[in-house]
Amino acid sequence: MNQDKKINEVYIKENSYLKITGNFVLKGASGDIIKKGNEVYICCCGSSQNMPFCDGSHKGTGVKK
Amino acid sequence: MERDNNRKYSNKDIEVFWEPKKCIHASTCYIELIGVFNPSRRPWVNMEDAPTEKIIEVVNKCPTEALMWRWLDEGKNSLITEQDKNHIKIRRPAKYNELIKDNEPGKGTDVMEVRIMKDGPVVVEGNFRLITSEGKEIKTGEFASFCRCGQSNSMPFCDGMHRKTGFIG
Repeated sequence: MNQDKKINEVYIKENSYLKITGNFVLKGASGDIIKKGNEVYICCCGSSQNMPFCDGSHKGTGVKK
Repeated sequence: MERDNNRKYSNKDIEVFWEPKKCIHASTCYIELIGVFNPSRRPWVNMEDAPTEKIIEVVNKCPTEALMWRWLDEGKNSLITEQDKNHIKIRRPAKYNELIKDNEPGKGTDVMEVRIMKDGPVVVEGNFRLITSEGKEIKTGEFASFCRCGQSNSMPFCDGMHRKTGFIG
């Protein structure tokens, strides 16, 4: 069943980023389309200088949980 | 018995229902209509600050059942069009299940939508698997709201902390 179907995935690197892969549309706060598929890294440590994308800032922020 | 914090707010036309436990802090309501939905104010909902049509529009955008509405005039509730049923208090559960079914792989609606909420979480909607860095699959979802500020107490999910810490991004 649906074996040829690409599976969408959200991979969580704790305190660092979300890696989203698959067939997606990325929209900004105002509803504008920023990007379409197939892979994106979203910052989830709060420290990126290139929001909403991960820029590697999580290293050294010591954000935990 | 555990006390729920469910609330009901009304104006002359409609009632809006608020079930805090169902809120995933997608922040749609207060970004769209801060005059009506203001989390810093008590009570946080002010039904007099916008026309009924606008309130309905914003409640319909709530991605969960945390916010729902219905006409005070019961006769009008039976005339609601399909597209508005999502957030009708009396109709939502059945319709919600239909929506999930429609979204199953193979039905042509398997595009995931990823929305960055202003100064808030990232909301993912669609069919997806959620994998942790240990390779564990913790949830297969149709909907989730993930923390972007790094301060949530229920990681990886948003718990609304971004508002208290003044997260910008």
